Amino acid sequence: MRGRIGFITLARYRLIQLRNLIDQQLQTAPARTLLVLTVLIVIWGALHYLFRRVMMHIEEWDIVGVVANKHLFMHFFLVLGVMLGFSNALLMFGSLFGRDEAAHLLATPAHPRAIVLLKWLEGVFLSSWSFMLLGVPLMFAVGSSANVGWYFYPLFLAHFVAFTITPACLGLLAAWSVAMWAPRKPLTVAIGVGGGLTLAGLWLIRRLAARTQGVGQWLNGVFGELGVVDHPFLPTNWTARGVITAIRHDPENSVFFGFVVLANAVFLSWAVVNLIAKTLPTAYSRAQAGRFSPTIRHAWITAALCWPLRLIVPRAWAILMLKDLRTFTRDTKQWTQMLIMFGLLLIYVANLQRLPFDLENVRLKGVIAFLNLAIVSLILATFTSRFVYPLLSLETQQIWLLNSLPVRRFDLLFVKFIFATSITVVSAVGVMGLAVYVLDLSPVWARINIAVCFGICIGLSGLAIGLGARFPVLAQRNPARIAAGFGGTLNLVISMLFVIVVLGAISIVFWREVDRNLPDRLQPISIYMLVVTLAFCVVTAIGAMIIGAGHLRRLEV
Amino acid sequence: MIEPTPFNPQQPAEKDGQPAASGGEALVALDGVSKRYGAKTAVEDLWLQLYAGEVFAFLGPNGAGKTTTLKMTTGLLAPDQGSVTVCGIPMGPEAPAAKQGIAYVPDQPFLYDKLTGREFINFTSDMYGVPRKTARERFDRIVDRLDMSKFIDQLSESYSHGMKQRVALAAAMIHHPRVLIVDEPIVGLDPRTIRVIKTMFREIAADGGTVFMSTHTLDVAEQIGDRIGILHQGRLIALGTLAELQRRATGRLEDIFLHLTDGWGDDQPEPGPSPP
Repeated sequence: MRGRIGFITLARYRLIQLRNLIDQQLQTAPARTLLVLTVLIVIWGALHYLFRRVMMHIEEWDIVGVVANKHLFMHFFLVLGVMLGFSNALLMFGSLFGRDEAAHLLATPAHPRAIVLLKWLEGVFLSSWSFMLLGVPLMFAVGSSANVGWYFYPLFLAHFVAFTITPACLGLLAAWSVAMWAPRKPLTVAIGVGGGLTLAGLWLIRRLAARTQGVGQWLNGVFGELGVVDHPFLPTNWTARGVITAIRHDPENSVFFGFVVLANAVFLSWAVVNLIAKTLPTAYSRAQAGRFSPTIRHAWITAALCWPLRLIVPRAWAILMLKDLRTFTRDTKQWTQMLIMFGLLLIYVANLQRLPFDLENVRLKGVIAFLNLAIVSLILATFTSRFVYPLLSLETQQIWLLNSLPVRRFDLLFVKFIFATSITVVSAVGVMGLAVYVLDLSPVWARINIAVCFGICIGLSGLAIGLGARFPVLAQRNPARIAAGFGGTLNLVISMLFVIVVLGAISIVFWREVDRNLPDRLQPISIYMLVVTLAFCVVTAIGAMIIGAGHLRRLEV
Repeated sequence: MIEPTPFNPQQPAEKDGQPAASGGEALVALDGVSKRYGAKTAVEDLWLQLYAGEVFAFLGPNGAGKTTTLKMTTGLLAPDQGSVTVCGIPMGPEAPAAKQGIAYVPDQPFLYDKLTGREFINFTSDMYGVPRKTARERFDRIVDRLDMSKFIDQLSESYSHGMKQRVALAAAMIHHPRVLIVDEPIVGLDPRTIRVIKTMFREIAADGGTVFMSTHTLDVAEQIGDRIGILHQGRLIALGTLAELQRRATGRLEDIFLHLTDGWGDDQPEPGPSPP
């Protein structure tokens, strides 16, 4: 009797699913698929161009020595490692202990090791594709600036792939630990870990920010303070050395470091996968026990928050918003990620004055303000693609209920739009408000920053809601999977394009006025650009929602 | 009217309602099994044995602990107390041999959206190591019986609930399990398919297997259940053949069920993961 099935059978059917998905896309929407691929290539090209320009400036400023410093790469990989580990932990918890598929496979003679290995590999792929999306054009830009050999390109790719394994293992280990020992308190654990990391970050930045040297010395000081990152036994150290040696025409050493990372990563993954496979049924069973919903005793808080809405919007809208708010606040995975994302941004902004920049210099203030706007906008685009876009798809199983309500389809979308915009505005405008306060911008420029940020929130929320309705993923309950699908990718790509267009237009205003030391009276062309940009944001939002509402009207679920 | 009394768990199941057709081999044994979710007890001290050659119908109000019991039997949930044995093999974290003889169909059947029904059934037969030729023969037969030929090559994301249920049942039976565990097997099925499914369940029992079926459809339990167990608030309050149950309360199974479960407290939701 063949008691246990192996990884190959599971993987083979995963590939069949992938083949069917591609076939389906090519048969039902070839133009759409081609469009997304084209736009994705354009985005890669644009990112490469952007990084290339930054590298050229770095060369002009003669701080190549600082940038091509192994410490910088070490910290780059450390930050990426933490992000990958965290996102992998969330993915793995849902995938191994929450989804129907895990139950289905565990009820069969499938070997737990095969299940864990398959899920873990999927997690590595799903959590690291954005790392590759951003990292590859960056390294291409480094390559074209630093006059590297041909072997740099395959080597950095190999280093990236080898590096992603370790944080993915740690994420898997974290998810398993929660299932085993804290299945009833995943929220407490997430808040504890997130809070701990935030406090540690705050403490470090405050400690480092006390320095008052120039940029180069300051960076060296930072790296000195974070000496632990430089520990010779850390994979970040090996990967950084591997990339640096590849840049410095030393492929043998680069390959050596690559193998060191890979060997350790493979050993770690072997140990982690086997440990978790050994206890998977127990961990799964414990995780299910943790899904028991306690009696909700604090529903009055969300009701009280939404009560004022009844004074300004129709009653049905207020009720729908209350439902959305409750769904959002009770979905730990959704808001903890958002909290961490904007928490880190807040730490950065709150410490702007402590960074070694001359904030008396009005021009520099203008540049920093624009860069802040760019960072917040790009994070918002990711945020709306990951959290707002799936909202409509998550409703498709209850769409019959919503359809039977005396509410127009556009109203339904509009309510979701208001909800999404409220959350993005509170987070993003809050961060930008703090930034302009810390930078001590003049009231006019503070208003311009806030207004543009507000416009971007409107545009991105409208895009995510509209495209979410236009390309809904039916019967899928995992928001991460909805966001990773075709429509989610398209939304991310279009959102990025939208941000690039808006920032491009606003950059004209900033550069023109920065040259004039940010005067309170703007040139007519700047005012015109601002008005047109804000109008573009509103038109984008409305247009996307009209398209989405039209499709939702035709949708029969 | 007689007062309902809980089924005595210390009384071995063989005494109270061993099926007449049984050869005596217990394929499923739940020995003093309990399961708690936090402060809530889902199943308490459950003693139950299912024998080769019987269809066992498991009844109970919503939240009585039926699904939890089925999941413990499949090894998906570990009991807090007691033990589960399937086909003579203790069901623990490492029980692939026991799982080889089981098929489980949950109340919300799971299919991969991007696999066709045919691919899903092939996947299942590969998982259980059914030889290709045998699998192909069984596949053709079962597709024909459950009338699935019109949609079997479409992606399962386009299936209705009834279609999914048929494919899931077909996949469950492709490896000829000795123990078929099904949660609400006939919800969403048309009358013709229900008739076929009932026949198939009886065939499994006739081949020396066991069907462990949780259902709210009392007619089906009445028609094909060799024995019936009624679970209420995690406790087995009645167990036996229909005739034996009728000795405790008169009337049809519906009357017996309502009589036995009346006055046993409020209808609490069953703890644990809610169905998708």
